[in-house]
Amino acid sequence: MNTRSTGLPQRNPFQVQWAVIHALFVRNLSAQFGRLRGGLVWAFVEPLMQVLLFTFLFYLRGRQELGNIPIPMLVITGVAPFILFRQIANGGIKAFRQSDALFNYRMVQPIDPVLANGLHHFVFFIFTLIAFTSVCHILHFKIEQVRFLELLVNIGLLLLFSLGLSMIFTVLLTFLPEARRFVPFIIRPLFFISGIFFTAESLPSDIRPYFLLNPLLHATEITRSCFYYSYTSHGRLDYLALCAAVSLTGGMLAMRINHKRLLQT
Amino acid sequence: MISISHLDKAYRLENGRLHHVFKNASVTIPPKVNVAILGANGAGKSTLLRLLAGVDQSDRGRISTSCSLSWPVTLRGGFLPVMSGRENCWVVFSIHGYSRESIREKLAKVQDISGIGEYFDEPVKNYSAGMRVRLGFALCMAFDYDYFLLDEITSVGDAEFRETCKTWLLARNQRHNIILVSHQMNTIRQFCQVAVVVHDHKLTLVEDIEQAIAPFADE
Repeated sequence: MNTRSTGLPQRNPFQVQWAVIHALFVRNLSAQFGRLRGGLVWAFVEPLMQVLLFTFLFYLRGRQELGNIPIPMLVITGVAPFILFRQIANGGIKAFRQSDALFNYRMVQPIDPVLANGLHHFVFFIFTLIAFTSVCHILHFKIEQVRFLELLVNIGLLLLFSLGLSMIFTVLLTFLPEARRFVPFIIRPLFFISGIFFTAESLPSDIRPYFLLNPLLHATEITRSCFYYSYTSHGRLDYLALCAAVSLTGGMLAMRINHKRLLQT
Repeated sequence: MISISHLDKAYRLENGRLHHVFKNASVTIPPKVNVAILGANGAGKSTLLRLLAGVDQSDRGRISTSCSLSWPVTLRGGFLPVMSGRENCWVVFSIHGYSRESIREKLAKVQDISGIGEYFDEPVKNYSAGMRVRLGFALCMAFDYDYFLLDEITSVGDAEFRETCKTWLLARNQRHNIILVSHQMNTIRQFCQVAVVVHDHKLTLVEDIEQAIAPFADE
């Protein structure tokens, strides 16, 4: 069906989808600005609290650094990627439900709110990481380097991995509401095993391979090695890429197969 | 002209069984006429509008046309309840690819047509049914579609709104047409020249509007 006489230029599918994602993104931002007093500042409160809490706990035990990394930087390089993952994996279904009225317009597809949610938290992640590392630098905590490209690839793969899971959970929770009972039980324990307050090197070597099945630990390890060349990293980009590929394929398949039913909800 | 051929559409019910709305339904709507869609409750009138608008997909069959069709303008309206009317309209213009300047212009126009005044900046969840429909209608009128798909919207508005509808729709009659779902036979007489009757999973075109209305008139 063409839109010849609507007085608008013909657009290709990518332009259409980008317009939708952009509109949803701006809407999410303005909602976050408007809902709470202080607006966007609240997005930085959670990582800040985590950093302060863990820094305090480590200092109580008399530790200033772990694996050659000052504690605040150790925590932020673990917490920021984890929050990125959690918000995207968990938030897809909410974004999808909150946008259901917009499926009344034919250019809005079920995948769009999920992607817009991913973009939203990705932007927050970038700001969080830049803000916290800058503050650490100003406060004279040691930062040895910034391997920018590797960091970008690493975070890009983490983003794709999270988006895939986000799509899978969206489909799962839409058609199987009972899944609400176990999805948080998958995500919550990941906080404790994704290397937020430990390093892979500090694990006993006979347990380490099991922890390294978790792609989030890889992402955390690589993030740290991007700031510290003296850090002994056990993270592997190829394993993270494999997980991202599997998750994204599964997610997009799930969305595509259920496309018609998702539109009817 | 819109031609629908061999249309099948079924929904899966909660109990797992299939509910067939259309089975091998075909109809051709002639160009340049306003169309009424008639049928009993649950016959598939709204489903037909959704299929025409392309927001739902048929299981089989084709809908082909060279005209542009609006989204279905319904009582619920495609609005997000927590956002204001203005923000909702911004999103809709934005996903249709309008530039920033033309959106500002269009928003002023929508506020004007809708006649909801200050409520334009209130969250849509605080709207009455009538205000919601006014906004939905005004938003749609800001577009330049060949066909406007209107679903029951004339049934809730007050007299003033019906007058606005009438003025806008008749003024646009030269270039634009409507496809209207309504149970109010007076409204149908006023606007439509032909009718598509939805009955028993099939579609039938009735060219004489009075003849089409007759079986439904005493409802």
